[in-house]
Order: sequence, then structure tokens, then C-alpha cells
Amino acid sequence: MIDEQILKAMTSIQEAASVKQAFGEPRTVGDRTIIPVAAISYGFGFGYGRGTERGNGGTTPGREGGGGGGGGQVRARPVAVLEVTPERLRVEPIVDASRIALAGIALGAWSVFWVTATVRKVAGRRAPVPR
Amino acid sequence: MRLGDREVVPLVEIEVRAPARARGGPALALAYRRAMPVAVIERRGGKERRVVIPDATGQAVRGIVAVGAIVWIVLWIVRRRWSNDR
Repeated sequence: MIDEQILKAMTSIQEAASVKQAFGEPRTVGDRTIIPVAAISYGFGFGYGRGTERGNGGTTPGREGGGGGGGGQVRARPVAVLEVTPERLRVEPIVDASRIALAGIALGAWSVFWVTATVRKVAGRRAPVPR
Repeated sequence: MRLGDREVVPLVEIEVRAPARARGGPALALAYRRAMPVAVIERRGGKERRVVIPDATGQAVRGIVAVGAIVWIVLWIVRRRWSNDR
């Protein structure tokens, strides 16, 4: 019963990730209209279990118990801004420099680790065998 | 949405994993939903124009991950070809 209620709640919350959330409210400044655009994601998970204790060597039913837990995440990441002027519609992408820099640093560390490991292995093969 | 003399139609890619669980036993349910803006269609004076919305950050990060994967594959081949472990 409880898990079915949670499933229903999860489904209803998820419906929120739609076009309305991805494209924000248009804001007009002078003759220009700005529309923020974002990538929206919702994620949920839960687990639930029940059990019965066996009393007197399994002949009589014992106490019952159950437990569960869950969690969720809602994320909105800005992707671009639409700029609408009387002449044209323009898309201005939003670049998350911190995220790209972090990925670049991770790539650098990854490459250094594997290049070092490979050079050590290959160099070890070519080293003269001590007699 | 209508903006002055033009109409702007947003296009969104929606990815859904519906909540579901196995019958009987411990219940475990996972669900997610993602809405990713793809493009807008601008209609004005009988003309229609499609403007793509690029995910600049996502593309850059995916590119970096791809480079990392290529580096790893090349080094894995080098290790297999020129090491004593075979």
C-alpha cells in the first residue's frame, strides 16, 4: 500500500519535467524578449521490505517488521538564452566553464596516470635483465 | 508561445523511465525523467525557421570524456603490444 502511494507520488512529481519547465517565462526588456532555456531532470528511488520473525523454532509466527527508505533529486541546468528582437530570434548558449575545466583537469590526471603506467611497463620490458 | 507578430514553438526531448517494481518480495523502484530543449521553430509571416539550441557545456564534457576513452584504448593497445605480460 505504502509503496503504491509512493509510486503514484513519484509519477505525479515527474510530470513536472515538461516543456514549461525547460522554457522559462519570457521577459521583455525594451524591444527585446529574453527566454531562459534549461535542461530539467528528476530522479527518484525507494526501497521497502517486510519480514516476519520465526518464533519457537518456526512453529509459531513471531513479530512482524518492515522498513524502507527513499531519495530523489531535481536538477535544472541552464543551457541557453533565446533573445527575440523585432528583427530576429537568436540563441545564446550558456557555457559552464567550471564544469568544462573540471572535466579537463580530470582528463589530464587520467592521461598522466595511464601514460606513466604504460611507459613504466614498456620501459621495464626493454631494461637489461640482471645476471 | 506568441511574441508580437511571430510564434515560437519550443521542441523538447523528454526521456522517461517510469517507476516500476517487481511483484512480491522487497520493493525497489527507480524512476527518472529528463527534459532537454532541442530547438525552437519560429513562425513569422508564413515562413518557418528552425533554430537549434546547442548544449555547449554538455558537448564539451562529452568530447573530453571521448578523448579520455581514446587515450585509454590507445595506451591499452600499447601495453598489450609492447609489454612482457603476454
